[in-house]
Amino acid sequence: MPTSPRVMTDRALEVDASGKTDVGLLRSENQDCIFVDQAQGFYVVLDGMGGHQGGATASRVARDVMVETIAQGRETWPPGKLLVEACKAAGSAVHLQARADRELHGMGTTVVALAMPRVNQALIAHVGDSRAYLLRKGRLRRLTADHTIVAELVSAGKLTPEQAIDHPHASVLSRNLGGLQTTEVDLLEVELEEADRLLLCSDGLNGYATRNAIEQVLSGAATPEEATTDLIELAKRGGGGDNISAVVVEIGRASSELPETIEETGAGAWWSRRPLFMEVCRSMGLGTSPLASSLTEADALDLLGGSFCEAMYLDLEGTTGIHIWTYADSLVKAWFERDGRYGPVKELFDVLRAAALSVAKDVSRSDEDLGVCLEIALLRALIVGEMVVGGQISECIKVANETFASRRVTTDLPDATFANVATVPFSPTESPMPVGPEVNKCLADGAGAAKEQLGGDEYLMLHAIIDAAHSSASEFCGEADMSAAAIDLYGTRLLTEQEINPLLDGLETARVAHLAAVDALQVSPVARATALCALALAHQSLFHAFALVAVDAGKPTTDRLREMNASTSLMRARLERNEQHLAHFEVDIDTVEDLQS
Amino acid sequence: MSLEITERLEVLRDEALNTADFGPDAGGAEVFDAILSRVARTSETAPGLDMSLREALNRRLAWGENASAITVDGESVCKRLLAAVLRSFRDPEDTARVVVIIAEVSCTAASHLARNAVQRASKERALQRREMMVQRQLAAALGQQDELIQSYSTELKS
Repeated sequence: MPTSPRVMTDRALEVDASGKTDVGLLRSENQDCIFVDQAQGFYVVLDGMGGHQGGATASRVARDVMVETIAQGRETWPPGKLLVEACKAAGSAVHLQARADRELHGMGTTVVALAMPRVNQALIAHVGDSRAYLLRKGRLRRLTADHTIVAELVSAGKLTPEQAIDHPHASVLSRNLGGLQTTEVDLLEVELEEADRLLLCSDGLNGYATRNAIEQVLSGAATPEEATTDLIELAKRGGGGDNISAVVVEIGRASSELPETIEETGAGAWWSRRPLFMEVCRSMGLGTSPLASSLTEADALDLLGGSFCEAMYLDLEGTTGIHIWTYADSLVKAWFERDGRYGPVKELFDVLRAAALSVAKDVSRSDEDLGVCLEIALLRALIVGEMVVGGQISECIKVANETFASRRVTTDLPDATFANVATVPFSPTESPMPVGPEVNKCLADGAGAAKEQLGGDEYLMLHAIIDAAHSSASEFCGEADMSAAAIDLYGTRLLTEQEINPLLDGLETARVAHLAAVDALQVSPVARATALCALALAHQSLFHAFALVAVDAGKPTTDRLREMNASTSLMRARLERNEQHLAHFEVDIDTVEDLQS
Repeated sequence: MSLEITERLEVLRDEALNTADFGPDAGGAEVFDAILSRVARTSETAPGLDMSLREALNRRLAWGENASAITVDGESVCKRLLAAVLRSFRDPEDTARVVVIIAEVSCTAASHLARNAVQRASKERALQRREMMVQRQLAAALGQQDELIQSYSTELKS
């Protein structure tokens, strides 16, 4: 790529950059794509989507087109315009390829691209939910706003930011490259200062790591390369459920003096105050912690406090978090494996934090700057430890979920020829859409209209079905467990066609009428679609729950028949034995008669 | 419904069946195929589609698969497909139409499995009655045998 005097004119300050992408822990393919050209000051992160191959193809096509467009248009367009045009050209290319190849239909990609025409100027273009962050003076600031439905609802004032955080469809995009022939691209300009760090990332990072954790890691890393490695590790430790990509660009000398200070004097200051740390731990009852209940108080104190103190010293000396990580991992893992509860772990970390801060306070008395640096370093290390606890808890939840799922789907037919295990285990899926006030009104009107239509002898049952579906749709987006409703509906009926078929017909009648009533309402298409979706899910859940109840109700009959078959077989065997017995008797009697004659 | 929507649903197959985890023979494929056919509805009639779905479900039952597991398979596929449709479809009208069809097919499958459970229970009750009759006859025969054995035994002793 030719160097242009227009792009990158100022090289007085050093710019250091690094980019990494990782498949994550759950995906089989990396559909993310990055591009880092430090010489030209051009950096991109793309997150592809669209089924098998589509996502990876979309992100790679978009990257190549952007790089080519930037190279060709540098002499003719100003940098901002050039960046936007590059994004648009990439979107158009992805769209055309998706239309041309049926296998790639529906593919698209997000993009966040950074161009630095000057070292102190950043131009950021983005589409979708890949993000750009700025770390300045240790504080992380998000620069881009996600192009998601939820973000737009927040902007429009229809959702509060708090509601958006846990929104089930937080990741549904409103814009991407490739979905349409032309794409609207957001461009922003940032004046940079020395020591700033810019982070471009895909949602595989910010979706699996908190903002605070990203801030800690980004500010704590010595170099951009270390930062990208640590950020990817951070997302993996948070679950790693998506592809993870991060590009970090550092302007000037960004590395803080903190690591050097800590390495040089902080570690020593910490170790020299080990007795103080241990004394605080002892006074706060660490020696009687349930985590080491089998040990004497002194041994428990040594294990929990002494090991922490040593791990912290080693981490401070090397400014890493690996020793605290290992300390927390081995301790907490063993505790949870023994079915330990979270409370004692929390108490442990509370004690360790209090004791560590008392050490930092003591250091501050003699050297205030060192005390502050040490306090920051200690708190970072404790965050690492708490992250380990979070990871272990999520592992426990995962195991509990799997156990629950296997109990739910594994039903037994002992004599079945084939394995009776479900091929698709229960897995919680996302709720369909938000149920806002308009949708709620739509659901209420629909339920009322449907009930009015449904009369006849069975109206009580039909109304009960509609009420159950309405309740699930309005309160839980249709995701509520309908087992209880299905059991109520089944009541004390016998499993006969006369008693069950009317119920099944009623379920069908109520479902059709309910959906038709909502479909006929004069409301916005989005509200109607949301209401229909929640209702459809509720009715289908009720139907499936009812089917499971019916299948379960048939099991006693099957078991009884099996018992009777076994009993008949025994009787037949006894009859056969008696026949043989009688035959022997007849032979004996004949023999006696012969002897007598 | 347009061919384009059918194609857009087709590309969601892997996601709906979760083939990444369960392979190409993932359970619930019959439900997904029925949804596709219902959306396309080019040559087949609705009862025809119902028959295809029912035959596919009956085949799984006949091969010894558990009705509860088949029900859960169908429900899971529909839930995943629903989530995928909501994420990938932009036009609310299209979304609504597809969602209604998914629910329709899903409920048809569940209804069929429930009716199948009822039929099976009826059949098993009839078999129980037959078994009771057989047992009564066997009990009578065993009684006669016992009497005969008793008389032979007495005869031999005397």
